[in-house]
Amino acid sequence: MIDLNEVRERLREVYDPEIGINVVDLGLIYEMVELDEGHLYIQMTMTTPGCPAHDTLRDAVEWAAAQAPGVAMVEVDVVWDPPWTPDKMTEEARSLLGL
Amino acid sequence: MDEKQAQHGVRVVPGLGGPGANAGVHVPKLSLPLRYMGLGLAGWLAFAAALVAQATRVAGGDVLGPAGVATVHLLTLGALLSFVQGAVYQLTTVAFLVPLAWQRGASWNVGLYGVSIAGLIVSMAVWWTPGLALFGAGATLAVCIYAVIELLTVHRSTVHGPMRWFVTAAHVYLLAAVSAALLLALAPTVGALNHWLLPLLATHILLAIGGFFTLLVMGFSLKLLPMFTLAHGYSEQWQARAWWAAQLALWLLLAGIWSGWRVLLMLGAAAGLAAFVCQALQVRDILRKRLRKRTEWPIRGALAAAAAGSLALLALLVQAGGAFGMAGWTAAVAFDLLGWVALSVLSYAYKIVPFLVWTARRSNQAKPVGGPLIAQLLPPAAARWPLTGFAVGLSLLAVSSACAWRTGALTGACLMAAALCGVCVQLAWVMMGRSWSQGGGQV
Repeated sequence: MIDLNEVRERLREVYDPEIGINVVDLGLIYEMVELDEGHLYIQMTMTTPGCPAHDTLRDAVEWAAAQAPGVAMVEVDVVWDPPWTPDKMTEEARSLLGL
Repeated sequence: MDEKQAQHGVRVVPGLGGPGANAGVHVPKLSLPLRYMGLGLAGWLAFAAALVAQATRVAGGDVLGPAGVATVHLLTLGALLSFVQGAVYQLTTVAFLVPLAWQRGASWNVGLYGVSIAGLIVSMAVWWTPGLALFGAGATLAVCIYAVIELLTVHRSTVHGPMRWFVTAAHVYLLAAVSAALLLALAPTVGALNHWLLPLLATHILLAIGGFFTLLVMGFSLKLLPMFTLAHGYSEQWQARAWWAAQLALWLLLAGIWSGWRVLLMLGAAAGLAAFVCQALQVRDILRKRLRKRTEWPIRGALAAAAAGSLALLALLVQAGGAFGMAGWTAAVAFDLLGWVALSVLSYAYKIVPFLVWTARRSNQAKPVGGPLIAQLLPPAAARWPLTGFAVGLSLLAVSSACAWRTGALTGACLMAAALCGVCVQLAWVMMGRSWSQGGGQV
């Protein structure tokens, strides 16, 4: 059984390199599901379609999620629907950006 | 299990698919844009030296001699187009979500391009006709290869809209500018063309600066500005208007050049100003919706460049009324090229280069988290003095040239050259994998 809160904490180590805020607080992680025992599915997005850091961020999310206990397999889908909007950010992220 | 999976210690599988799933980017191997950009930096340094050497001559109005022609092409082909090719190869894949149509060709072309333009510029400086023919042919081929690769790549994209119109039109105009250059080269030996030297030269300059560089900067700004200011939810209503106004401007100016009717030149310059106003309104909408409230120095540089472009068009409008003869045309075109095109490219370089280098370094790391952010690699504030120095130097050079004040022109040129050296040192430092803000430590 995967502790999704633990995965979420690991993902907080992954920063958007341009903004300097982690992917969780930015609201880039749309969904995390344990499909089977140890099989984690993550659906995420980017702040802009065609983000140059697309592959790097996706790889970092894969890597960070794989460090959580109980994770045997990670699947990461990057989707554009629904598109990311600033209101998906946490209050903390918004305050970091001065919003 | 591949190497990355082995590093993870778990199995990582591709996504499940479905609408929009893993609709990723298809960035080329990072050595490709970096090679072109490295060539561009060498071009900037050589141009800085040539600018200082030529400054007093420019102030005297002598820019059409061999040394002046060589210096102009050192800027356009050696510095700008070299750097722009690298940036475009990267940005196209990001903006249009397609892989390059011929990445291997783009990779080989850097050698052909570099050797050809080096030979061409030296041949121009000493006016060596066999060299002009040989290296000119090589440069023509290399530029055409680049334009065709770019046009094929964009053609395959499913992304539509004004940005695509701008980028496609820019490369069509680039091919037309090269064709005009070929006709210019043939003019001394072909009697009929010999009568049209001046219109051909004006057409070549218009298509290269107004058609290619201007449309390219305007088009990619529609992607770069929102991306780097984190703008969301802005209106796009001005983009198409800017494109149509730019087209109208180019065709009116072409008609004016070939008919000799000043009124068409004036209308063309006015349409060009209208295009810049539409673009400015679009930029205003983007900036109003930006998340990053503090405007970084590279973005300020790009905005200053747009203002310089508008000023240059205003000068063209006045000049089209017959104000200052050849010296006026030269000053307006030089201000457009250096103030609008060069300052835009230099400004965006401060955002593009560290992003590229960061991505390249990160993709090679076993642990893809932690480490410096892009802004730690090259802080946007590092752009402040080089971009300011370039802008101040250019203003001084322009005013001094207009007043034929040689000392002022030389001072302005020296300031610009020092600023360009600063830009090159900072960008080269980062391209070598070092962090500008961390005492040069390896990233």
